[in-house]
Amino acid sequence: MNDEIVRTEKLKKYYRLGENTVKALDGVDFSVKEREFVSIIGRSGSGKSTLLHMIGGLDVPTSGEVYVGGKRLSGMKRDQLAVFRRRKVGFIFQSYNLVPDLNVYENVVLPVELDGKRVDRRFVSEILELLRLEEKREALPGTLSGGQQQRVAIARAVASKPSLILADEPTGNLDTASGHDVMGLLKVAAKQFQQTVILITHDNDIAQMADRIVHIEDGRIVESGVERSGKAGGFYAGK
Amino acid sequence: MLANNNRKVIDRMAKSAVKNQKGKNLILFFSVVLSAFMLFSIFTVGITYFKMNRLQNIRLNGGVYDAVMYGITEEQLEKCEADPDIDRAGIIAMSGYIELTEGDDTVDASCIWADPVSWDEIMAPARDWVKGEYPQSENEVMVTEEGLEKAGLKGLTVGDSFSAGYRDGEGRLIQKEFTISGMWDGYGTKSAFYVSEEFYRQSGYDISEVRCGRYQMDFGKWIMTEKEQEAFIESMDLGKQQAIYFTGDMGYSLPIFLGLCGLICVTCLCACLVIYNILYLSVAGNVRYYGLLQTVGMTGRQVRRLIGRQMLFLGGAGILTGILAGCGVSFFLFPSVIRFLGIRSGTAGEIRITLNPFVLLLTVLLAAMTIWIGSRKPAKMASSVSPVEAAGYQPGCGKKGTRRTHRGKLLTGMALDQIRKDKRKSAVIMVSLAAGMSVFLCLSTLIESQGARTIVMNHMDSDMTIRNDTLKKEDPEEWEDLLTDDFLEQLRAIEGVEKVYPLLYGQITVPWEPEFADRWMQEFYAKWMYTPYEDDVEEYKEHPENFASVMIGITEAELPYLQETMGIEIDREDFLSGKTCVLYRNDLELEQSDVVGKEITCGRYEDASGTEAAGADTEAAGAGTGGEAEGTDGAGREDGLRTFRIAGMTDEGYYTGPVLGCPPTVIVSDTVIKEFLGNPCVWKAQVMYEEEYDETTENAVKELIGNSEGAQGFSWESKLESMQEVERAQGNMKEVGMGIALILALIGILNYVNTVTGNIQSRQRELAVLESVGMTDRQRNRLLVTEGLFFAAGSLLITATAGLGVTYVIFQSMNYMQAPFAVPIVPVAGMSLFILAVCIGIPVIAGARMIRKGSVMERVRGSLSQL
Repeated sequence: MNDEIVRTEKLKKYYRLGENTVKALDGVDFSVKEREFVSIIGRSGSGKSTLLHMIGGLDVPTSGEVYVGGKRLSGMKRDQLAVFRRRKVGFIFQSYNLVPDLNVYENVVLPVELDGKRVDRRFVSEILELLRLEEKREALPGTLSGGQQQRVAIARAVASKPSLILADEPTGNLDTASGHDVMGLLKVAAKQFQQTVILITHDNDIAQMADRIVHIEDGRIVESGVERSGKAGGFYAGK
Repeated sequence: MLANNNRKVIDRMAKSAVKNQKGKNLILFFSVVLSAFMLFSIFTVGITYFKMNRLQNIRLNGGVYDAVMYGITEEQLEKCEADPDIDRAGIIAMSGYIELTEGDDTVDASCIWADPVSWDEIMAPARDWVKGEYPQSENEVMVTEEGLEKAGLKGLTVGDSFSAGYRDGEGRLIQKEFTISGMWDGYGTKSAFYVSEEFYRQSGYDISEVRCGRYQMDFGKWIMTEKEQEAFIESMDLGKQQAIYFTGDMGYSLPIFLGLCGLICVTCLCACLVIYNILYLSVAGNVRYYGLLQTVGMTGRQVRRLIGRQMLFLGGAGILTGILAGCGVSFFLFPSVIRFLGIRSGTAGEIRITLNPFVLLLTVLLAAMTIWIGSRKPAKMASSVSPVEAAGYQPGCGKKGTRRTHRGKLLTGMALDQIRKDKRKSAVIMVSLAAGMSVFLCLSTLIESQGARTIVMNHMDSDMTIRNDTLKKEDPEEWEDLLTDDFLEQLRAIEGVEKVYPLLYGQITVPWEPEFADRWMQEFYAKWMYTPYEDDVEEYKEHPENFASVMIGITEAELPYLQETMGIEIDREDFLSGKTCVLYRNDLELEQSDVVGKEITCGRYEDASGTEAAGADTEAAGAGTGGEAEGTDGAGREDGLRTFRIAGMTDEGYYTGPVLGCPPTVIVSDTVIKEFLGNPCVWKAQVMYEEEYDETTENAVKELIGNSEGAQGFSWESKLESMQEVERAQGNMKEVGMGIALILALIGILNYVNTVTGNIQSRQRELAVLESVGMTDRQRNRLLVTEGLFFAAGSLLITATAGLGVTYVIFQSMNYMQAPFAVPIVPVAGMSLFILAVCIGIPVIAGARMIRKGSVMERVRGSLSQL
């Protein structure tokens, strides 16, 4: 269990929608090992994104615990969570979520600069080259295609050398070719920079690219994943 | 084609849009409320301010009139009566001067007859109360308690009689028994004794004389241009002595009116900017919505109508609420706050803020117009959104192109980006904040210049001028030396008295000579006398002692003050050594160049016989000294005469003696007057306190005067008393004015608050994205504060340059009190600090409110409410 990077315990997240209560997560126990590439699949509204946001400290659970790198997130204050996000987690969103006023380079180094660290220019160049963005360094997000924007988001996610990459439907807004391209690059980057990836998708083809696949339905994990790379899969559903 | 009546659908959609977008519409509604509120408050409180200002001027002028003519002939009177521009006119006639009563033998009170128009109409608004009747018979007088006290008749009342000696128009001192027919109090010439027409008729004075007649004219209009005024003066065909003076507010009526219009325009501009800003932000945030409406078939015109309907609902409700809020503030809160702050509640009049239906109408019209203008551009923008653009619209991602990578600090750079991103919006925010600040700067400067302390100004700005009134008496035997060295020493020793400047006085003669004295006398007769100079010139030549004049001696320390009044430089050493002297111009039509360098010869009045002899020789003496001015300057001569080179003239009335002679009043240094006249008396003394307007020191000075021998012979003019009088006349004008200034400044600030809040609301997603990649609350606050500081710096810069310039121009155009231009440091610095605090505080508060709306992801997506 020492190489476990993510663990959730009885994780619940409820929302109120008018007079009804929506159970986005309903007692999820789940773990991921270091350098593992895990896909979480499920239908729209199944709770997969909510789970990802809980792991990334973007949202707070109604109850239950999230541990990342051995640290309990629910004990952290807002600012500690922000620091945790920029140091430990790299996010890739379906809608890219780039800062429109910053150019490609500035978007990529944003988490590093927010952390007050010196930017490792060579490392950033290496990433941009790997993701075929070198020529677009000074371009504003508005001028880029969806695939290019998502590659910028990947670059940003890996630039601060986080140990965990959380990707929320990264190919959702892309055509098939661009989607596969982005996924390939994400996998290569994660491998090169030795990062753990948790990927949310509803596309089975994309999910197949992961080491392990986890199914989620109605806020519960219903099916354990198959370990595809030969590594041990830490799956705790129903533990 | 059948017309499709879709108004109902649009109405319904507009209603539901207003209901469903509560947050945005609340800000919009609040902006309309704010605009209507400030317009209403500005008009209501503004009208009150100008009413109070007019009341102050009525009180300070002693009546409701626009101009006063000194001396009026029969023809002029007929002309004025026939002039349709003159609403009403009253006559005031100086009919004598009371010089002594049973209680005081140094009285200086005029006997004035006021005709019924003047007394009952023109002067009535300046009076607080009247007891008894206006004098009808010759021996009746109308007085104030203050006037009676000054005349040594304290305690008398209506029906009482007293005996007084007065000097009539022929110069005779007449003893007479007077009966008090009435008493009054209020504002005006309170020391005067108002007399009957009968008294005036036998006084030997005539209203055609400048020394007697005062014709007060009320033109019954608010504005009279300088040209109109000049034309009127021209039409009166004035004699050389006559003059027409327009009152300050009428004299400057047009610039004041234009200044007011300017202020109203700025207010409307502020209101317009508020609505435009908010609507613009609202539409910009709803581009997708309007685009989708067009996708489903709504035309651009229908979109415009939809926004129009929305604005109608919000505008109608907003204007109504704004007016109600304005009523609350203007009629309840504002007077209460002033009453709470009004330290002078005992003397200040009640604040009467009145509701004017015209103001209501004007507010509704202006607010509606402002909403219409402010919503035109955003409505046009919404209708021009293409459905395709709307469908693909992603807030914040529309910016194209490249940009150079930031150098330097990340947050500062990002903040600057925000300012540069939408330059127009940033400019609007800065300009609206600067407009509010500038109006505050302008108004507070104007109001400060109207302050009692600024209005009360005297020569040297001294706290008190003490006079020895016994020197005014005709019989030199009755003169007493009251302001002795001993008295002055005691005065200086009083704690709180900083400086005392004595003014020495002695009588002199100025013997005739052709070069200067003759020219002066010609001018003097033309200006002030009713007999021709030719009739008297021979007497003057033979007996200069019959034409006595005055020599004034000032201390060395007072020389710079004298210098200030002259407009030309004088040589200090020459003046102090007695080589040169300065003359009091006495309103003669002489220029400095006419007299500077010329010589004036003076003789001692006591040497009347010697003077007589000298007078006979003067022609020769004058001719003899004319050619070698340097050698004879200030030289004492064997004949007792002394010649001075004239260094210049002053118009400052302070440098005159107890009486004004026909020849010039000669001002020299105190050592020179002592040297020349032996032992001259101190005629008056200016006292300056360590702390201006210090009541304790003033009381101590008054006590010293009261305990002195011959206390009755003293009189004084106190700056503190004058200020209290002006303060009483002003009532709460300053506070009301400051209230207006604050309301206007508030507009700018609220506009900023609204715009920044709206702006942060529309950037909610962007800020959440930054948060998602690790921006802490502290970093977000730093970013927003830096933006706020840029806005503050920009608006303060605009205020300090353009705002100050406009303030200066408006100030000078409205400055009929001739107050010096000075920016009131405390309120302006306070406001700048407040602006700074707002610019820093509001973004932080708005940011903090934003994070309470949900988790980072909820804000990125804008979704469910959390359990």
